[in-house]
Amino acid sequence: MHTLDLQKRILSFAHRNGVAEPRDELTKLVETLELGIPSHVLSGAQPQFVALQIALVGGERVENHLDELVVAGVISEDNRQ
Amino acid sequence: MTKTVELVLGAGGVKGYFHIGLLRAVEELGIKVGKLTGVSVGAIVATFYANGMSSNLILKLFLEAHETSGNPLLLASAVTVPDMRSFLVGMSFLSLEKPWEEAVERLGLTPNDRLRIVACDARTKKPVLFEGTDYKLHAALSASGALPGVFLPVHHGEQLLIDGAAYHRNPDEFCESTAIISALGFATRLSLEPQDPISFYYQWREVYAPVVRQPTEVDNERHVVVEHAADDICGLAFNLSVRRCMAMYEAGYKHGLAVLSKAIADGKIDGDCLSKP
Repeated sequence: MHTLDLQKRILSFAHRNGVAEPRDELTKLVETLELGIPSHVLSGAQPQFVALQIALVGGERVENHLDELVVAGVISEDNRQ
Repeated sequence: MTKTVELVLGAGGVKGYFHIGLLRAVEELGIKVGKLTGVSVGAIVATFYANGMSSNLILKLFLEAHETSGNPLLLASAVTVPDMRSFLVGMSFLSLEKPWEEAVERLGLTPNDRLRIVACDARTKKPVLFEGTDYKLHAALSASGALPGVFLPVHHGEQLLIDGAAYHRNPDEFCESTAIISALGFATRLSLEPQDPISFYYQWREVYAPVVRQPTEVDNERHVVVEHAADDICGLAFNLSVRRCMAMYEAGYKHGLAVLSKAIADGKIDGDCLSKP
C-alpha cells in the first residue's frame, strides 16, 4: 500500500467513533508495534505527521495490525478502503 | 546551552537526493543539528528534517513521490490562470501554491524555530526570509522553488517572490554559527540517458541558457562545504530512473561522510557538537 494511503488509514483509525483523544491512539499504536518514533514527535507534531511517520516506519506491519483490528471488530470495515 | 551545527541545504531540484544522503552522514556521525536554512528543494528537505523526520524516511517519501511525479492529476492541480504581473515574471501557467497547500495540510508539516526558508523578491533580487512560526509554510515552500520560466511567482504583500536561488543558491549569510553547507552543482553537459522532450529542454536550458543567474559563493573559511557534483543531471530532470536517484543519495552520503569526518578531525566541527564521543 502506498504510504499516503496507509497514512489515511491510520488517521481514520485514530479518529474513529468513541475515541476521545486521537493522539493517544497513535501513541498506543507506536508502542504496540514498537516502532521507535521519538517521543518529541509523538507529543509535538501534528497527528497527520505522526501518522505519516507511522506509515513510513511500520509499513506492512501497520497494515496487518489494522487488518487484524478490522477482523476483531475493533474498527469498521470502511478502514480498509 | 547545547552546541549545535547549522545546516544549509541549497537549491538544485531533483538533486535533492544528495542532501538526504548528507543527512544520513550527519546522523551517523552524531552531529547535533541546530537551525536549518533551505532553498528550493533544500527547503523541502529541511522542512521534513526540522519537523522530526529522519533521512531514511525522507528518502522513502521522496522515492514514492518520484514514482508519481508524472501524474497528470498532480500537474493539473498546478495549472493556474495568472494575473498579468505574475505571468510577466513567471512566464508560466503552473503554480506550486495549491499543490503545496494540500501537501502541507495532508502531511501535517508546520513551520518551527529551527527552520529558515529563503525566497527572492522578483523585482529587487533581495532575499525574503521565512523564519519563526508565524507564516504560511505552503507559501514559503512555493516561493522558494518558484523558478521563473517554470513556475509562477508567489504574492507576498506587494512583493512577488521567486526561487530563493535567484538570490543565492546556498545562502550562508543567515547562519549565526558554523554551518554545514550542502551545495548542489549545476548540469554542465547533456545527459547520455534517454530523456523526455521536456526534461531534455530543461537540461539544455540549465547547460546553455540558464533562466536566472544563481550565485553560489560561500564562506569556505567559516563553514564546512560539501559540494555535490552530477554534471549530467539538471535540476528539472524529473524522469530520472530510481537507480540514478539512489546513486545521488549514496554519493551524498559517502562524500558527506568523508568531508564531515575530516572537519571533525580538524576541529572545524567542534567536538561539543557531537552526540557521540
